[in-house]
Formats: sequence, C-alpha cells, structure tokens
Amino acid sequence: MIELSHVTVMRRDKKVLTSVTAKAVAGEVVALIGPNGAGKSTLLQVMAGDLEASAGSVSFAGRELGHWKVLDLARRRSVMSQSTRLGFTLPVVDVVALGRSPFHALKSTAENNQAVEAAMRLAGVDSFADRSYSTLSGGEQQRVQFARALAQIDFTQKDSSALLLDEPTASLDLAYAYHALKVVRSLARQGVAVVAAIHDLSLAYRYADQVIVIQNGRIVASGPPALSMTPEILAQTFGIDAAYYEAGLVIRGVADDRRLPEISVSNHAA
Amino acid sequence: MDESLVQAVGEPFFKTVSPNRLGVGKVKRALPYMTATLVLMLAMVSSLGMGPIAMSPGEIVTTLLHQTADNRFEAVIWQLRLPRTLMAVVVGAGLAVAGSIMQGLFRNPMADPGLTGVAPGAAVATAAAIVFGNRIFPGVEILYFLPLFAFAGGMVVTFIVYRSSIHQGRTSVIMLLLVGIAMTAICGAGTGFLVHLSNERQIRDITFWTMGSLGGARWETLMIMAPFVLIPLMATPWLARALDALNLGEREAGYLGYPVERIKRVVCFLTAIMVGGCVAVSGVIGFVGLLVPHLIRLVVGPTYQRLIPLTALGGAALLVFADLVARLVVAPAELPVGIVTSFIGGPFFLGMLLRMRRSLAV
Repeated sequence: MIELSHVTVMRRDKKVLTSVTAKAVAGEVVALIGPNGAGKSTLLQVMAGDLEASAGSVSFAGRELGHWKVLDLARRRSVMSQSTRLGFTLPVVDVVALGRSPFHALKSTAENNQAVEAAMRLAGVDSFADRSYSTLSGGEQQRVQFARALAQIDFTQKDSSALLLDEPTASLDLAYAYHALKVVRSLARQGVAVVAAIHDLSLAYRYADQVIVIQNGRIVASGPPALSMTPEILAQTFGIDAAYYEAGLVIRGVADDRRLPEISVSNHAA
Repeated sequence: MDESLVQAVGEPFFKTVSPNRLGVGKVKRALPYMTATLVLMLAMVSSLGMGPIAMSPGEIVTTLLHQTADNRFEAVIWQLRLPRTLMAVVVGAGLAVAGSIMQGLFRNPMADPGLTGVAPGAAVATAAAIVFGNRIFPGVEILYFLPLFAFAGGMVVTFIVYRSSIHQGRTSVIMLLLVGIAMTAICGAGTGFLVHLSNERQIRDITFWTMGSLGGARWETLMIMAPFVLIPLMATPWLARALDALNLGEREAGYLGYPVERIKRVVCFLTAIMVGGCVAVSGVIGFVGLLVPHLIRLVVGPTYQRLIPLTALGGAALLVFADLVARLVVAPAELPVGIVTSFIGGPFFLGMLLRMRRSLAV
C-alpha cells in the first residue's frame, strides 16, 4: 500500500531520515520503534504525505504520493497525530464526526453517522460522547482522536485503506492500550494497512506483524518481531536489557553500558 | 454499522448509550435562528421608529409602502433612517462574520479585525485615499474607490499578523495581540500624519473614520460597499466545513483532505475584503467581531455551519442597536457608534482576558 524507497529528509541541513526503504502492505500492522528523536514521527509524516522527502520516492497504492489529490488521499488513508488540541472545544461526538469530512459528499448522512457511532464504540468513547473535549483527561482525548481516525476509514473498502498512528497508546492506561491495538490488528486482518509508531516495546512485540527499528534516522532492523526485536538489537538501539519468556518480551532493566543521567538526591535548591 | 468489526475485536468491550445522539430535533435546531431573526427585526423597527420624529411600527410599514400622508415620515425613513439602518445591518454582519472566520483561521477567539490591526490598516489606507486620491486620480469621485483602498490596507495587515503570530500551525495569542497593538500604533501614526497633511474638510472625514460612525450612510454609500460584504458573506458557508476541520490544527485539516494553504489564503482575502468594505464607509467600529462570535459560540457551539449565519444576524442586530444608542443618548448630537461598541466590547474583552489569565501566563 505505502512504499518508501531510499527516502532522505533534511531539516535545517540536518538529515532526520537517511535512505529509508520500507513498506506497509494491506492486512498487516507495521510498528515503528526507536528511541526518542529517532525519526518515527518524521517517517509517519512522510508516509502521510505531510512532509516531502528531500530524496527518494514515496508511493501510495502504486502511485507517487505527490500525485494524489488531498481529498482522494484522505478517503484512503487516515492519520492520528501524537496530540491534538482544539482551538475551540467541541462535544466528543463532533470531534469524531470530523473524521468523516472526506466522505460528506460521497456517502449518505446515515452512513456517516453509523461510521461515527461504530468508531466511538470501538475506541470506547461512546459513554461520554456528549462531553466537551476540553474537559477530558489526556488519555480520554487520545481515545477520541483514535475514534476520529477510525471514523475516517472507509469501511466499504478496508483493503485499500491505510491507517497511520503516531503513538496511539502513549497516554492510555494498559487496558485501553491493549484494546486499541486489538482494534487496530482486527482492522488489519480485514485488509487495512496499519503503520503505528509505538513506544511500548511489549505492545509492539505482541501486536505487530512487522517491526521497523529506527535509530538516528536510519533503519537498524526490520521484519517480524522475533527477528527484528532481538535482545541484541534492543540493547544496541534502546540500551535496555530485554529477554523473552512465554508471556512475551520482558524488560528486565537498563543495559549495563547505557549512559543515563545520574539519580541524585543532593539538594540543589539550597 | 459494521458488526463484523466489533465481533472481530471480541466481546463488546464497552457499553453503548443512546443510539439517536446524532439526530437533534428540528425545532431545537431552528430556535436560535428564529430568535436571532426576531431580535434583528426588533432592532430594525426600533431604529426606524425612534429619534426626534417618533413613529409607530404601523406608521413605519405604511411609510415603507409609500402609503403615508405625512411627508416628513417619507423623508425621515427613506432618506435617513432606512439607508442608515440597512448600513448598520450590512456592516454589523460583515464585521462579525469577518471576526468569526478570522478566529477559525487563527484557532483563537481573540482574533478580532479591530484588535489585530486589520481595521486600523484599512482605515489608514482609506485616509490616504481621501488625502491623495484626487492628486493620483484627478477628476474621479474617490468615494467609489475607498473600499478598494481599505481592502488593500486590511490585506497587508492581515498578512503581517498572520505571518508573525502563527508558527508551525499554532497561534501564539500573545504574539497575535502584541502584533495587533504594534499594527494599530503604526496605522494610527500613519492616520495622524495624514490628518496633518489634509485640509479642513478632509480632517473631518478622517476623524470620522477613525472613531467609527454610520452617520455617513446614504443609499449611494450603501450600494458601493454592500457587495464587498454580501458577496463574501455568501461565499463563507462554503468554507464552513474547512474551518471546522482547521479547529483540529492545520496538519489535521490537511489529513482530512482540505487544501489548507488555499483555504488560509481565501480566509485572509475574505476577511480583508469584508473589513475593507465596512471600514471604507463606517470607519473603525471595534469589538463587533470579537463580541458576537463569542456569544454565539456559547449558545450553539463553534461549528461554523451554524456559527456563520447566526453571527451575521447577531452582528447586524448588535450594530443596529448600538447605532440607535449612539443616535439617542446625546441627542440632538450623536456619538460615533465605535464609542458605543467599545463601551460594550471593552469590558467584555477584559473579562475574556481575565478568564484566560492562567493560559496566557508566561
């Protein structure tokens, strides 16, 4: 569905992505993992068509991304950013309904309303659909944005749609984080191509079909989790000591050679 | 409803509430429009009937239908109060809607054409046209070109304010207001300088422009400026969905399929042209664009499909009432209406600032 070939992105003379080649195919969840500032969000923005590559090519459904009309693209791919603040607060249901914007002219009101209802239920925000967005907690707001992204998927042609998520579970509690990824994987099984930047490595390991490990704007490893998230690679990129048990990936602590700020209790304020 | 998806996810994880949430009753939806229309009608009837020569609503109707025997009524209504009331309707609607779409662009309720310096920008350009117009275009009746000059002045300021207060798709309220102060100061200095260069008749014209007044309303001025407000006003509903999407942020609006850059240009253009049309004939009337959209949002929420028509009606009603006050309060003299709107809008703006105090703190 989405293919990147040797993509390089420059920001103020600095390479934030270097010769990245990756793809997301229909029916699979691709997880982007990497330390803070590795280039995950940038990569997602390139895939979304929001950021232009300085070199290399990006295509969506076999067509160069730059050749897509924004509206046609919006009907095929849905994006959830890391955090979204509203200029003017709205009831939750209206925020989710904005996800249907690309389909106003295409589908009936009843269909659009149904999609909004379904998305709210899947994201677990239907119980506070009438509440004002600004009164919600960070996690609740994130679920609303998740619902909005789900509402933008054309359920009649899931197998030609893509869903791009930037840290969709960052401020969710564990139950919702698992649930959100379950929803995402279920959508993928029905044909949607999913790409998600994920912070939580256990979640990535458990729910992704493919994992792309990024460090300093380069792909360090990619492939199924068992091959791309080996303890060696994780130690090298994240500086953690990880191991696998039957339950999945377990982070045992910080690797010995990882340099972190010292935890000190000396009294600076005095 | 896609049941298969819910099933695929497994047990319904969350309970469902009222399925009919998206359909609100038609009567409930129509109520704000009916109220706003009634208030506007009331304002217009008061404006036509009140003054040194008082008229009952019945007398107003017969005069409007040219059925009255009283020649004074005929003259007062047709030559004075009707053009003036209609001008107040058009200017009020124009300023309020310009404010509302500007606020959508900046994603901020403080973006008012007056506070951001757009109206003062239009005013200084108008003053320049009054002073220099006859030298540049000798023999041309400058009145016909004033809205164009005002538009150009407003456009320049809109561009500067936009460029300086939006960074990476986010508005800095502090920058917005500070740049507005700077632009107002610069434009005010320019207007003051032009006053210095002008002759007596021009000074009177310019003073009137800077204070804001509908006293110059004639059929001719109304006809010249009305298209500047009414044509953009008719175009704004097409922008409603895009402005709603912009509420999520510029990037998100792009993800939802809106050509964000083009929409931003269109909004700037429409704001400047509407403010230009208003300022050219009535000067700087402050706070209408701040007050009205804010109040309407409190009632019906920020969704633009409802906000724009209601803001137009509300802005019209407010300015008709404000002009009526301006005419009556110091009769037989009259106040510039800008003073009346500032008396109402100023404290209101202060209240908004105080409520935002915490988020504005640096």
